[in-house]
Amino acid sequence: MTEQEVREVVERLLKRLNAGELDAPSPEATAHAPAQPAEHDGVIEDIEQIDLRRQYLVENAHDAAAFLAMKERTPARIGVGRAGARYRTQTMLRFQADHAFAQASVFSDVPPEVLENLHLPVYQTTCESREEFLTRPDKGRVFDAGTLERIRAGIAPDVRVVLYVADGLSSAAVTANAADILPVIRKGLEGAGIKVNEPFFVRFGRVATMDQIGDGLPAEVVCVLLGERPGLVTAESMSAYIAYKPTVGMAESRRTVLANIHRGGTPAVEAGAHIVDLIQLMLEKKRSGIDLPV
Amino acid sequence: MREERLLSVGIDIGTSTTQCVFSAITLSNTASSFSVPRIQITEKRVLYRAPLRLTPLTSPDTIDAQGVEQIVSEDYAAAGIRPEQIRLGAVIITGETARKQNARAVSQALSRLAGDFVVATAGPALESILAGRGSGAAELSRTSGKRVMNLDIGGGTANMAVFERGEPIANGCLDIGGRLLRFEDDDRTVLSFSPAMRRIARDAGVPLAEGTRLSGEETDRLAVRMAEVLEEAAGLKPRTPLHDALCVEACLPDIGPSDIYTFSGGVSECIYGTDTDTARFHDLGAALGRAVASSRFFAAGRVRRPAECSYATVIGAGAYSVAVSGSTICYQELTFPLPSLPTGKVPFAGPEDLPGLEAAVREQYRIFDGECAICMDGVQAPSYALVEQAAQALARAMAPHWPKVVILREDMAKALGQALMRAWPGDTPFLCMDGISLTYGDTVDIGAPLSGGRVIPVIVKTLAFSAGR
Repeated sequence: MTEQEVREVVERLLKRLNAGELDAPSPEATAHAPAQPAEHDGVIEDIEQIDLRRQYLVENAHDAAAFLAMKERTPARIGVGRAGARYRTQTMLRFQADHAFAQASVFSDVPPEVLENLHLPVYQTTCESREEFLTRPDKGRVFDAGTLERIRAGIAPDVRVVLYVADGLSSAAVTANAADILPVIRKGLEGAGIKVNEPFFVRFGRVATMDQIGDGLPAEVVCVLLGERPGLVTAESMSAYIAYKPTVGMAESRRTVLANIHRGGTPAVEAGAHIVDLIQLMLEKKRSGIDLPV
Repeated sequence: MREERLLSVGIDIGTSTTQCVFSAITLSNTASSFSVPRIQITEKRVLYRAPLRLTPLTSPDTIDAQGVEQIVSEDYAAAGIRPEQIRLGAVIITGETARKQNARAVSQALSRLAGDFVVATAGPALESILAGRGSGAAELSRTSGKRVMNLDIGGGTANMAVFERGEPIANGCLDIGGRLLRFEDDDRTVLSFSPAMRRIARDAGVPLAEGTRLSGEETDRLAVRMAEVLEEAAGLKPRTPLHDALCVEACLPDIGPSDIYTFSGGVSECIYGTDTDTARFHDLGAALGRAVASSRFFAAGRVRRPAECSYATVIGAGAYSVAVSGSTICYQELTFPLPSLPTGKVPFAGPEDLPGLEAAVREQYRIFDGECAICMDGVQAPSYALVEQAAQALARAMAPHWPKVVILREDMAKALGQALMRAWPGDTPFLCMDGISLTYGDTVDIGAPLSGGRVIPVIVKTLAFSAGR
């Protein structure tokens, strides 16, 4: 088709449209995309507040309700529609926002007031800064002699379970879950007559800090709750690593792991209650990790 | 233990026939090793179907309990299964309500064979849903994305259930079945008929009396009128007073036509023309099947043959009646099973419900004379404070009652249960479980824990959509 022909076709169509012979796309049909962020007084709603499992962006879907029913079962970004060959603007923005949130969780500290409200004393590994923590995993596993002594001095000799929190790779996970999971574990164990220490917080802490803390203590079980490396689904996911009589240099297989603790995964209170049972089983069987029959 | 296979028995004592089916139900932990376990039913497989037998009766209204026991023990022997191997099961007595008078005697006679985790009488709503699940109509609605209505037409009743996305959205039951009218061996002379049949005959203008002979045309007229009432229920024809008069307990809500219709139950074999031996019944079943086959159902081109026909209800009872709880639950010192527990639903879906919680629980115990399970929606990812305060309120309100059972939908039962355990004296028997969604007035049978004690099997006997309390 030559340019001239195209122009003629367009002109003919426009004439028919103006004459009312053709239906112009109705405003409703074009603005159908559901769950667009609403605007209130010039302020756009926080895109992070939209539940992706309930958002379906495909236009003129054959059966949107059936797709939404499937979306209930997965956090994957499906049913997002497209703009030409690309993502829609909303999808792109959400992706960037989730990525930014994940990065921020890795690079930021747990706010001091969160730790104060939980009455958690703060200790720091041999890392001097967050940059060092991220680049030197070996330094995030150990304390200097003075710090280790102070930590261990705070654990009474009759304590059977040592419980503490570490930032790991997500400060957001600590902020989101610590207040709900800590009391469930403490009350649960104390209710069963098992003495727990006063929990503390380790800054720039990795999983293996539990080895140095537990090695040589009379306490039997050490449990650390720490932030998981964030993904795009959530930056608030916490893991519990639990070991019976951990020692420096022990095999990783001796740790029992409970991952995916966040509001879209295992809720903090349920995870805490499950950890209570796990720890009681460890105390009874005197083992942990893959040696523990679950 | 990642996988566990349980044997389940389903026994359906119907108006015309008694059926027994053995199934294998597989429970698996579908969560990764690094997560909280999630035990789910991952497979249901029918292992053995016993042949259909006529239900033994001692009188037209009374089931011969010993006769049924005899039949079922023969089925066990034929299947090569010992009663002690059975972990789950359901016995249901279906069809006309009058037949259920000696349900207790029947379930007692069967208790040695079926174990003690059973449903004695199911009620029309549950029968309809079990038939719809057992036939495969529920699954068809899930895979096709269509609204599917299953009509399970047996000897005494037509049980109807409508499914969307695999879940029942409506159910109802009509006094329509193949055995409402029985003939002598000549298939012409009326031997007996039910009160519902008298209504139908009056409406169709067919004089009916025991000992009289019906012409072929009269028999067909009765059957056609019955088929019409089914059309009325299914939204294919405006409802008439006869439809309303034939409703058992509750009519199917008038929700318009469905995309797909499936038929199950004994009469369905006559509808699809798959029963080659209809003569032995000497009743209206064959005529009713022919009438439905030339009805508006087929004219609309929306009829499909389901995966299961005659065995739909019994497979539903044996393999689809049981659900399992969430895998983080809390219980102690209880003796299972806890059969036929009514459920009192209290509003609890967030902090705003806390102030009224204690009074709401007390009110449910008052309504149910002090014996019911307390069920609530619960809160997704609740705070510790909320769990603790809810436990305090529940602990006070539930203290004087027995048994102490809390059922939640949202995943919070273990945390709540541990808080309850601290609130009551140490060895107080109780059960707190989640992952079960209930509607007001549902009754539950709670079985003994499975999968190393991590999950509880539950049969929900729904009364949804019927007139209940």
